[in-house]
Order: sequence, then C-alpha cells, then structure tokens
Amino acid sequence: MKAVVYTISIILLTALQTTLINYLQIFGIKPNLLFVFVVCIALLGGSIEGGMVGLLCGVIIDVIGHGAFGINSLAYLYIGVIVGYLCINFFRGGAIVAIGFVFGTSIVCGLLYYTFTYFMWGDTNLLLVLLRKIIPETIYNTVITLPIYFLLEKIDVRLGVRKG
Amino acid sequence: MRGLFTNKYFVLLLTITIFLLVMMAIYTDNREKVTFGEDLVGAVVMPFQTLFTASSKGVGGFFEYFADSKKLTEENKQMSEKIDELNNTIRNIEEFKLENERLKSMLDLKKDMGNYDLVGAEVIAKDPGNWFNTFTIDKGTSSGLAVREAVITSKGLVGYIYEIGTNYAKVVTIIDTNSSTGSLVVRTRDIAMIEGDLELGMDGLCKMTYISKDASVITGDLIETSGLGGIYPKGILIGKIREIRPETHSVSQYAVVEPVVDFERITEVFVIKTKTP
Repeated sequence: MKAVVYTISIILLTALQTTLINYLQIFGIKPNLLFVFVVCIALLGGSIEGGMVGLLCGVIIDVIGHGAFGINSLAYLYIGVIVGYLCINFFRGGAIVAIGFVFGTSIVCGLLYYTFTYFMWGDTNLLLVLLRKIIPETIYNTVITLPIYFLLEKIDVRLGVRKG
Repeated sequence: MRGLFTNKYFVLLLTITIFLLVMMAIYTDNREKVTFGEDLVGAVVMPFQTLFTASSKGVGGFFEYFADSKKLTEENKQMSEKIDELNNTIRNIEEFKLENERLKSMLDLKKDMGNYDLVGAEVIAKDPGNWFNTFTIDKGTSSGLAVREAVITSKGLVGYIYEIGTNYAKVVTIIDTNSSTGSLVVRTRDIAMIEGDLELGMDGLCKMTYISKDASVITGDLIETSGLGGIYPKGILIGKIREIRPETHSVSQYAVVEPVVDFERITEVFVIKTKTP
C-alpha cells in the first residue's frame, strides 16, 4: 500500500515539477519537489526506503530532464541512504531536523551538480552560481519542506506505519 | 571492512552504483532515439503533464490575479504586441536597405524554405531543475518529427529537438549552455556564433562569439541564422545585440544578444520538418 501511495506521489510530483511549479518561480528559480520528497521520506522511513525512493526519483529526473544520465540517480540514491542512516542513528525526526537536512543536502547537491556539469568543463562562475542558483533554490526548498513533511507524516499515520 | 561487504544492503548499494556508472558511460554518447524504458516513463508522466499544463492556463491567471498584475499583464501584452509590430517594421526597413545581392539571396532563401514543412506543437513540460533551458513538446516520431529539426515561434528561433520519443520531443533552446548556433548579422552580413552562457542564460540572454575582427557590429544589430551547421535553415530571426563586451581572458570581444523569443513564456512552437525528397 505504501509503495502504491509513494509511486502515485512521485508521478504527481514529477508532473507538477515540470508544469505548474513554473508559475511559482521567484527570480527564475523554482523549488525541487522531488528532492525535498526524497529527503523527507528518508527522514521518516530510514535509509532503505530513502535509498529506494531516491533512486526512483533520480532515474525519473534523469530520464525526463536534460544532462548526462546518472548524475541525479546517484545523487538522490546517496542522499536517501545517507539522510536515512543519519536520522535513524543520530537524530530524532521532526520538522526542524527535516528543514536542516533539506538545507544542507540542497547546498551539497547544488555544488556537486555545478562541479560535474559546469566546473569540470571550464566554467568558473562559482560565486554567481551560488548566489543566483544554489542558495535561492536551497531557501525555496526549505520553505516547501514543512508542508511536504507534515503531509508525509499524515500519510504514514493514515497507513498505520506511524502512531499519530 | 569485511563485515561491510557481507552486509547485503551495502553490496546492493555498491551494485546499483556500479550499474548507474556504467549507464552513465553508455548514455553520455550522443544518442538520437530514446530507449523503451525512457519512452515508458514519458508515457506514464505525459498524461499528467498535459493535464497540469491544460489546467495551468487557468491557474496561471489565478496567480497573476493575486499578484495584482492582471491589468499590467494585459497592458504588457498590448505593448509587447506593439513592440513586436514596431520591431517588425524596423526589420522590414533594414531588409529594404539591402543591396541587390541581398535580394538575390532572399530569393534563394525562399527557395530553401520551400523544402520545409511546419508542424505546430504545444509545450507540455519544462526541465525539472534550474540548470538547463530545455522543454518537452507534445509531438514525437508519430507526427513525423525527427532529431535535429529546428524549433521556432512566430517571432523567431527557439532551438532544436535533441531527443525524441513516440509522442514527445525534448527541445534544447538557444540560450542553453549546450547550444551553439551559426548566425549572421543582418546589417553587415558578418558571420558569428550564438552560444548559451550560464550567467547570461539566467536573464534569458545569450552570447555572440567568434565575431570577426573586421566586423563592425553595433548595439541594436539584428541577428539571424546563417544556415551553417546543418540544423537551422538560413534567415530565421534570433534576436538583437544588446551590448558589446570585451572577453575576460583575451583581446577579442563578444556581444550579448537578446533573443526575440521569451523562453519563460513559451507555450506554442513550430517544428521545421525536413522534407524527405
């Protein structure tokens, strides 16, 4: 049941990410729904669930998006696994932890992405990219974390995985 | 360490990682046709994208209303139309100024364009991230489209198809960093390249490089496709020069080009279909 709910969520979020979310752009930057979804799933479900959902979301983004295949799959897979691992072993879940993790992973992921798609090929505009792409996207991602986190927590309670 | 390799989850993670790395190596090659798996993902996600895009027409208006900009949008639209009209007039005047040789080449162009058919398509999705300037249209191989076909709007050049599925095609725009277009300065007939630039792309602009030393380009010059490179037919309007800047690490200069197409608000495009003889 959980798998079905997650799959439907991923399909809907993917469609939203490529269509309606463009209307919510601020300074040409949109939040990354699937990324926040992966981090929240990892926080709530642990590294195996996080890794599986991360891999699926990453593959979808690689397939529908532009750029070399595999970058997003690997990044999302590892973010799911690592966040899940850290959360189960060192942190207790919660909205504030979710915001912290989304903030940290968004910056790391943005920097990795820049390194592999631009920096490696000679682009050295790191400061500009940080100020105009990575940081705005990180802030936007943290803003949408709360609704996604609470929604997922509610779904978990409804499915009986978590006590309300 | 040994314990790590007997952990089945770690082994699984390692296997997936190696598999993805192999896939990455395979797929970095230029490929024209998508795999069955990709077509399947496209087929699953596309109906939702079409639905959301259709509903977005209403939702878009809703958000604009709350930003108290409906009136402004209307006004803006009228002004944009007026500007388009004026720009067209300017362009026409420029065209008239050209010498006999140019008129002759225009006759050739007409002959060239006779070899192409236009296919209308709707934009159904944009790139999921903030890094690339690409989008997906609702026509694919089933409508007779193919990779490397040019995409335009009524205003001018948009980009070209870089990947195609049965019912969708992905278009890379001229402001994307992966794009380069053979171009021509309308007034002086100087040849240069239009390239996407990460910094300029954030403002919807692109860069004109390889401007010849003797070229006397000025701000406001109109740029069109040169027909060199094999993807774009000759004579499609690209944009106009907004600014001329010196290159950071060399003595040459480049021009900042403002495309005629607004890539943020693109909804309908035409694909120039290459006629098979």
